[in-house]
Amino acid sequence: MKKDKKILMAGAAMVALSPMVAKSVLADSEPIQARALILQAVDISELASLDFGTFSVGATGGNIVLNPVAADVVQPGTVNQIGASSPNDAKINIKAAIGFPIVVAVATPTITLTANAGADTMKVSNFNIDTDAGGTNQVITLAAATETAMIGATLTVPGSAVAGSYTANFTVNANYQ
Amino acid sequence: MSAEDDSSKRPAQATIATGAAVLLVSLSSLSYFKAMAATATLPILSKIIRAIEITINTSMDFGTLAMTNDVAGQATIDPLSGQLRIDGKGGLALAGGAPRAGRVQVKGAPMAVNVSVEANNVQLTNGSTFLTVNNFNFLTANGGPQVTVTPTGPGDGIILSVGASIQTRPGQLTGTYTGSNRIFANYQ
Repeated sequence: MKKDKKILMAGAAMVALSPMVAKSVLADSEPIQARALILQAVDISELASLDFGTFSVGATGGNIVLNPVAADVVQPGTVNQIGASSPNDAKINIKAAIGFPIVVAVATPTITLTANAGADTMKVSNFNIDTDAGGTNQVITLAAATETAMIGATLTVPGSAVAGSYTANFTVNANYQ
Repeated sequence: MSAEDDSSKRPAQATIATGAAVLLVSLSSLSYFKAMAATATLPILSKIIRAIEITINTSMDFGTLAMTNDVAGQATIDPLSGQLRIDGKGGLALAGGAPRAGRVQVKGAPMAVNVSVEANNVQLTNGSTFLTVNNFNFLTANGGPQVTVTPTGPGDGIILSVGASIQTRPGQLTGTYTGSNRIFANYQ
């Protein structure tokens, strides 16, 4: 009788142990990887404004062309740079991810400069970004985290231009292509 | 026979009687023992359950995300379609890569299995800074971070897709951000 009890107890122990062992091993886990390539926001800032300098104008007027690469020129006409005035291209600083194309664009192709409380105007057009024929849209891919780009344009000076300090703002946008 | 003879026989009779009693007890014991020696066949049951095995078939990839404005942004991978959905806040744009949901294979017995992620929020790092991935979902966009499934497919396996949301912060730096979240599978 005792022998039978022992057998039964052993049997019961096996039944009880069996699920415990199974539960401890019947679970698994694995890490799942996640990845993302983030391109930081493009940042542009002004390093230099577009400055056509100081000039005199005759009866027929003329154009002043600021080239991003080549020398600045005064096209035939009666416009003459004066003294030590130093026209210069606009210059922007660009911060963005390296190696990803960025579209840099002048928002408005023609800008009107005003003087004398808005009474007199002149036009700036033919913007060129980075190269002399870059146009108002240029794709630039940075090779370094920060690079600069030049922006030139053409000021059309009518022969009837009135003396004054002509100013305006123009907007440049930059973002990933 | 004399009285003495009678008296001398009594003990013998008593002995016989005692012997008979002993015999009876002995027989009784034999009888009882015989009754308890009946055999019975008891079943021993053992159910073997296949061990759970979890395998990561595909990692989660949010592709290349450009920060189009320097504001917080969110992009979510739908586990059902595998498509990347970007919030409408204008802070992010898909700039390439191949966004995809994660895929996990769970093999086991055709019993209910609880599958869950270890953490609701994990950080991916590019080595110098981090961003957060959260809102983990199994199977569907609203499946939640825990699901109960039954491996009944080919090879007693089932494939689960996993999606999540990536959160970018203003000023987030360029880089490849990586990290992981552990997925658990347990019999219920």
